[in-house]
Amino acid sequence: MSGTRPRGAGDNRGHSARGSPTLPLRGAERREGGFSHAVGAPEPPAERGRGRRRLAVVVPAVAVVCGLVVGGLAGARVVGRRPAAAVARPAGAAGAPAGTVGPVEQLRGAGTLLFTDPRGRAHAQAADGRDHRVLGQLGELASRPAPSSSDLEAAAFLLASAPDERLAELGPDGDTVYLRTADGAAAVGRLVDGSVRRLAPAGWRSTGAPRHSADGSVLGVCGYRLGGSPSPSVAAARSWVLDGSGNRLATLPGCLYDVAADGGSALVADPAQGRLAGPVPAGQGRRSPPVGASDQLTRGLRLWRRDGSFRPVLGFADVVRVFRTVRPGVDPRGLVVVTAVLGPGGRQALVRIVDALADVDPRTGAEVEVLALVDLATGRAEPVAEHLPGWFAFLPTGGWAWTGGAGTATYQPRDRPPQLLRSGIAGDGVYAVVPSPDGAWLLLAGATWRFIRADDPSVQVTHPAPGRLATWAPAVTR
Amino acid sequence: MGRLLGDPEVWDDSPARPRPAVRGLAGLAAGAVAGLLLAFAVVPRPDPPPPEVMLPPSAEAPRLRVEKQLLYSASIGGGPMLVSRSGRLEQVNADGTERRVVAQNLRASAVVGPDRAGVLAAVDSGIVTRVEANGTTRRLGPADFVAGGLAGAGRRLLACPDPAEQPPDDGLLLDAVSGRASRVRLGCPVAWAAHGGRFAGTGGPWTRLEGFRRAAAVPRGGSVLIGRPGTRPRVLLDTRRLRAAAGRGAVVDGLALSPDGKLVAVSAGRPGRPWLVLVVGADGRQLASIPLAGGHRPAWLGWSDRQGSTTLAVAAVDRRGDLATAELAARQGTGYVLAWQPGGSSRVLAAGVPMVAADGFAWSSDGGSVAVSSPAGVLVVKQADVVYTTASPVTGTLLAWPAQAAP
Repeated sequence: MSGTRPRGAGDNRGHSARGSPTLPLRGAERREGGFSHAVGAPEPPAERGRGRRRLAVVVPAVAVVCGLVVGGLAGARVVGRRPAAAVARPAGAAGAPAGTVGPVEQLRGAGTLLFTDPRGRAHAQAADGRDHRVLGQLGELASRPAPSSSDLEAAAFLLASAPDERLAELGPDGDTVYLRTADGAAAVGRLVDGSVRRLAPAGWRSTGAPRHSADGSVLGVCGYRLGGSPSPSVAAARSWVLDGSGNRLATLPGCLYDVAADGGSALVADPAQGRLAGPVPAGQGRRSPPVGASDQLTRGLRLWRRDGSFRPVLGFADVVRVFRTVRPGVDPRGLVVVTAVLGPGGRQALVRIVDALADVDPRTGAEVEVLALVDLATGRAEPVAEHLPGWFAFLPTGGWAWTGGAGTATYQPRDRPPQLLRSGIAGDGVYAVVPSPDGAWLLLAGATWRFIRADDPSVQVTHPAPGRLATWAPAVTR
Repeated sequence: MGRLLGDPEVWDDSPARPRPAVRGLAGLAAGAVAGLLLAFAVVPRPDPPPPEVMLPPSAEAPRLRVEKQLLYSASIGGGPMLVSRSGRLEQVNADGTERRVVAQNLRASAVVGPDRAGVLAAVDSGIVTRVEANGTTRRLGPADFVAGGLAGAGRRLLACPDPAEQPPDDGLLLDAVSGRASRVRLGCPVAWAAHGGRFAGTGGPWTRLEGFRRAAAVPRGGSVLIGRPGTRPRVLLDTRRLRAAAGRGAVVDGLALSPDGKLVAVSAGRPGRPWLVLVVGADGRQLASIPLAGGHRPAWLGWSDRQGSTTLAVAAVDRRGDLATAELAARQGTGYVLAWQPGGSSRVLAAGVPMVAADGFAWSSDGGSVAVSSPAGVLVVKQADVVYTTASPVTGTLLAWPAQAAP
C-alpha cells in the first residue's frame, strides 16, 4: 500500500479510517464503499449495514403510522364535511315556458290556457306552462286581417263591440270554438272534424263571436242588417238564443250582449227604451266614418229569462245620467249601449256606453264613452270613471278589472279600494283581461302574457305569449 | 451490485439494499390510504343541510310610472309645489328637486301666496298666519278668531270661521300686510278670484247636518254670496234656486271662483243623496250642472288659470258608508278628477288608484297640469291635446302649486 493512495481507496475502500465500521456509511463514502465482505473485512458481513436495515424497518413503520394519521384526518374531514346546500328548484318551474319571469310555480293548478296560433291550430297548456298539447286545427282560426274599419263596420260598432279583442273562445271540452267567420257570421266550430256551423240566418251578419253559457248549452247571437243611403246604418238588429245543438230557444228584437254562466238568462237590448229615446240621428262625421240614423241601436237593457219572461235592468234615463258624470253636456240622442257583460251570479253587469254623435278624436277631445257598473236588481248604474276605458272583465270572486287610457290596468275588488295591476300596458299590446277560473289571478294578454295575483299584484309572472289567448278554463276535458 | 470474483454472472445471493427512504415513502402512502379508508368507514356522516330554496327577488306592488320628461315639463310650467310634510311647510319642484323648508312647525291646511316678496298666508290649526320669506310667522286677525278656511289674492285675504267655535257666517276680510281685519257675513267655504278682485262665500240658512264629520253635526249654508272688498256681498244663488237644482235640503260644500271672477262653481247636495256641481255666472245665470257618481262628494273644486281659457277641475271622492266622515288621507276609497270646460267638453284626468286617500289637489299656475297628492305620492296629470300622467317623487299633502317660489 502506498502512502500516496487516497484514503479509503483501493480494495478495502469500504473500510474507512475515520469512522466506526458498524456505522453506516454516508453519502459518497457509502457509495464508494463497495462490497465489504469481498475484501475480507475484519467484521462479519452481517454486521455491516445493520443500521440501514434497522432504518429500513423503522422508517416504513413510522411512515405507515404517520400515513394512517394523516389519511385518517383527511378522510374524516372529507366525510364529516357538511355538503353544500342543495338549491331546490321550485316545483313546477321545470316545465315553464322559455323566458318566464316570476314565481311560475304559483300558477300550478290554476287551470288550463287555451290559445290559437297564426296557422289556425288550437293549443292547451297548464297555466304554469306545462303539459302543452295541440288540440286541433280550424281554418277559421288562422290569422286574417283585423275587422275592417270600413263605414259598414263603423255602423255595426254602434250596435255592439266585444269587451276585448280575442279572436275566438274555446270551450272547456277542448273541441268547441266560438268565433266570427271572415264574412261576419257568428259560428261554432269543432276541432275534431274541422266543421264550422253558422248560427245567424243567411243575410245576417254578426257583431262578434256567439256568447255562451259556461257549459256551452246555451248560445246567444246578435245579428244585424245594414241599410241606409248615402251613409250605412243598422237597419235591423235581431238576436237568437239557441241550445247547444243549434236549436232556437228564442228570437229577440235588438242585440244580445251576454248569456249567463248557467244559461238561465241573457242580457239583451230593451226595445221599449229604444222607443223612449228615439232613433239615433245620423252622424255627420269629419273624424269618423259617417253613419246613418238608426232606431235599432241599444238604449237600454233587459234580462231575458229562459222561461220567456223579461226584466228591465237599465233604463235610458240611467244611461244618460251615467254618461253625464263624465260629460255633463252630452246630447242624449247619441248615447247607445255597445257592450254588456254579466257578472258572476248574474247580479251585476259592466256596460260600455258610447256617444254615437261624438265627432272628436277620443284621445284629444271630450270623453266619448263611459264604463258603467249596473246593479241588475235595482237597475242602478254607476260610472267606472276612467279616461278612454279599454278592456274589462269580471272576476268570479265578484270584483272587476279594466284597462284605461293612462296605460294602467286596475282591479276593483268588492268592497275594497282599487289596486293597480300594471302601468305602461300600452307597450305590452294588451288585448284582453282574463281572470283565472278561481279568480285568484288575472291575465293581461298581449305580446307578453302577464299573470297577476289578484290579492297581491306584486306577484306577477310573465312570459312571451305562445299564441293568441282564447280561454282560461278550469281544465280541458278532452 | 457487488460481485464475487470468479463466480458465474447469474449467481447473486446478496441481500436487497434496505432503502429506508423509499420504504418510508411507500409506508406513508400506504398508511395514508389505509387511514382514508378507515376514516370513510368509521367517521359518522353529518345530517344533510336543509335545501336552499331560491326565492324570487322581493317584489314591489306595481306603481305608476315616473315619466321624467313630463315631470320636467310640468316643473317648468308650474313652479314649485307647496306641501305640508311632517309639520313643516315646504316647497319642492314637481320633479322632486329643490326641496326647501318654507316654515318650520307650521301644519298648514290652506295657503295663499306667496307674493313677489315671498310672503304667504296660511291657516295653521285655525290660526291665520303670515309667513315671511325668512320663515318667521305672525298671527293675523283677532286672537279669538278660529278659521275654518282661507282664500285670497295678493295682500287681500278672506277667512271663514270654524263653525264649531263661532257663528258660522262670521267671516273676516284681512289685510295680510297691516293685519287689519273687518267682519263680513260669510261662512265656509269661501273662494277668491285670482285676478278679478271678487270673492264668494256661503250664506244662510245654516243647517246642522251629520255625515260630514264623525259623530258631529256641522252647520252648512244654503246659499252663495259674491262680493268685492269694500262692498256688501250680494246673493248669487239663493236657497230656493240651489235646492231646485240640487234637491231638497241641499247645502253648499265647496266653492271655486274662476280667475277672472266671472264663473262660480258650487258643489251642492246633502249627505246620503246625489251631489252635483253647479256652474253659475257672476250674473247669477246657471251655466251647467255636473252630476257626480252615486255616493261621491266633491273634495276639491278648482279653476285653472290658463291664458285664454279656463277649466274647472272637480275631484269627486267616494263617500259611501264609513267613508262619509273619514279624513281624506285615511279614506280607503276611490274617486276621480273631472276636467270641465265652459264649452261643454270634459275629460276624466285621474281615477282609481291615485284617488285612494287623495288629500291634496292643485292646478299648476300655468293651468296645464293638475296634481293630486296622497300618502302614496303625488300624481301629475298634464292635459295638453292628450292626457299625460306621471307619478312624482314629491311627498306630502299638496296645498298649492303657485307660479313663483318663496325666495
